[in-house]
Amino acid sequence: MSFSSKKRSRKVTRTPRKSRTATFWHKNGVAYIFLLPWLIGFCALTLGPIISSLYLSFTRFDLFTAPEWIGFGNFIEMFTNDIRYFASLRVTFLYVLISVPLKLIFALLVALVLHRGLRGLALYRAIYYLPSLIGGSVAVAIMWRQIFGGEGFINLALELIGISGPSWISDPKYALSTLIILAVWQFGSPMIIFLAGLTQIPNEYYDAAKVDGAGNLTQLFRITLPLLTPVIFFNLVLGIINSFQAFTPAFIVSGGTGGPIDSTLFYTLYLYQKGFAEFQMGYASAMAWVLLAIIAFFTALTFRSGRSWVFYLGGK
Amino acid sequence: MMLKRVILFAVAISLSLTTIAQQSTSDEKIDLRMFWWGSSDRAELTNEALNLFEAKHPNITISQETTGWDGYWQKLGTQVAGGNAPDIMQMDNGFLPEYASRGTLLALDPYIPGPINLEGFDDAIVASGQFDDNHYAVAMGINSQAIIYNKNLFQKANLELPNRDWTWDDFSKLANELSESLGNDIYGTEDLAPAKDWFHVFLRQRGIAFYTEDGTLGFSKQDLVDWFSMWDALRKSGAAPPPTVVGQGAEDSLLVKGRVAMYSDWSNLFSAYQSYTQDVLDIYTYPTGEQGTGQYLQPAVYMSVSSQTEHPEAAAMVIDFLINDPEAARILGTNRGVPPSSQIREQLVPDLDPVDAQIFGYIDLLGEENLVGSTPASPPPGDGQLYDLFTRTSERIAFGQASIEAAADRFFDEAEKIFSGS
Repeated sequence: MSFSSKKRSRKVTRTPRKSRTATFWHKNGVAYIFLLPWLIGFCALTLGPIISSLYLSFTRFDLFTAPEWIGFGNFIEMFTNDIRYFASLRVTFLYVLISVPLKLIFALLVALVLHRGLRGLALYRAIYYLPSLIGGSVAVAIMWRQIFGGEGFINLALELIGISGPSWISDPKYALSTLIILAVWQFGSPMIIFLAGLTQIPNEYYDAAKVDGAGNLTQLFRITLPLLTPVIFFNLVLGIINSFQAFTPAFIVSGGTGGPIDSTLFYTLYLYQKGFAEFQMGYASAMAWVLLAIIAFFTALTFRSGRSWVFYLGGK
Repeated sequence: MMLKRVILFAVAISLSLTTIAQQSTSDEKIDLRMFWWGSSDRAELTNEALNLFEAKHPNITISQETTGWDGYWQKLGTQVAGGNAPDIMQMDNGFLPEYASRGTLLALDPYIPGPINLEGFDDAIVASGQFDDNHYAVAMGINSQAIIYNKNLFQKANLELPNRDWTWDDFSKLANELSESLGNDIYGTEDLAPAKDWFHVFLRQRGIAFYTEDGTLGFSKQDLVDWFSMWDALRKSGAAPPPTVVGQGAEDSLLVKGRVAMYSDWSNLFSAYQSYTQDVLDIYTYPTGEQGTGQYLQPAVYMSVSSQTEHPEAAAMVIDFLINDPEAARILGTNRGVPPSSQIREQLVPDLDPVDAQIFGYIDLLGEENLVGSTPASPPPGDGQLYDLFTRTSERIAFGQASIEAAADRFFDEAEKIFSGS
């Protein structure tokens, strides 16, 4: 049978696979070209090293000679035979569990005070934010080491009120506390975010509450905090992720040793020692991946718990 | 016509360029990198000496990197592993086997005796820079262990050092007496317990070597316990400071701050300490054990060349300059130890400044009065990592976190890991 009786000039076209891809590139090609520098950087400088670090974690690698495959050897050694590893875990967990909540509480308190509206608000905001800009630097860590040293500024100040202080950084009881204080001192950056969150709370809620006779504290606990929970959540997750990775303060304040007696042996510092001082790069890589797992676990935990206490305005 | 002109012009230019190029390849421009550890005085003196070298060899420039002992080995290790090793690097006895065994250092045998002239060097000193029968490191200076004490504080306490065959009991007695008369904030001696190097002296006094011939630890738990017990007693009696009172490096040391009357360090560092204080310091031999002082002469530091260097000849020339050029020797003084070349030592003696003269005198005395034993063989790889472990062990005891016995046990456990892991 022929269909020639229905001669139409219209062609019935089925879009062949080929030109759908071609259309895709035609539409998005330019975007990808713009992305290319970042993509190359990501693959070469981030993804590549991540993959090779995963490979290295299953090897013994002393940095000078070729890596030698040892399977799960590093992980087994880490969990069964390394006392200092557990010391570093303990120190790091202590640091995270104390400094993150303290820092956030401080940030929130100051944000609440500043939010009331003071003269010179911009100035205060800047002053409190400044430490978090420079706090992670080597220079500040060196300064911190001086301040809390035996004859440092803190002890000089204490002498004025008649207290003779020990060398805080050389005493295993106090050394970690100096690092926690350094972390909390950098509360400015979560504080700014809290301030932003506070300004987003509609005033109508407060007005309505006042009309109903709610006092300041009630307003705080029934309106402000619940509406701030997304911001608290954000700061919490970020704080946890960052503080697990803290390195510079511990390295500088302890002189690279994690001392005295491993009381400031942060996980990352121990990793550094294993890799660069003891030439056990395979082990250090394995430690890095375990840290990733730990951080991922705690982040997931926070997200899970967030379902019950984080309230998003406008419904979820 | 125009094209012909252009071609002729181009040929003329390229001919003149090649003649210029030919002239400069004979004094090829060489850039070297040199990396060492030390405090700021060493940096200044080395800089001066290297500037002198550059003046004598205008085609060679040396870019200088320096850092403190803390962190030097991590930085060097990273550079070497990254293929970015400095051409000339300062080397230490404890790390030489580590680096030489991994092929990161250049065997210098082809460059000895020219340009590196080792005439006038003591055989043992030359041998100490060898690994596996090849020369990998050249000694820069000789030093020995020393007790450095503050004469002003001794005068104030109205006490004197006993004669040279004093024992550790004499030392403890003296330290206690010093602490008592000098008052609350000043101690008779710095706490030497955390330092593996001084423990080594203690071992040798008992006739024990730190390492056996097959590279395992040669001392027993009892030796370790004896050492730490002695210092524990000194801390408890107030003769040595508590573990929270510590200094940091030479400039910030307790000796320089006038907080301790006696200290210990390598003899070549004496000039650094003296330069940081107005008090008069002096240098003395160690308290003795059954086998004498336990001290030995050793190269304070070495210089090695990277196996990846592009200019081995030039690097060798720099090393030779630093040890054999009289002007360089005059500049460097005793900063890296007493010059190992006997000719250089003879030339320097007439013009030595008083502090350097003290150090020369000390080293000479050690040789003349037979106060030193034989220089030990190079340690096995991993030795450098024992320093931190030793310090941690001592801290554990000092802070009361572990009994001396328990801490000693843990030392051996962790040391075994270091030697099996590397």
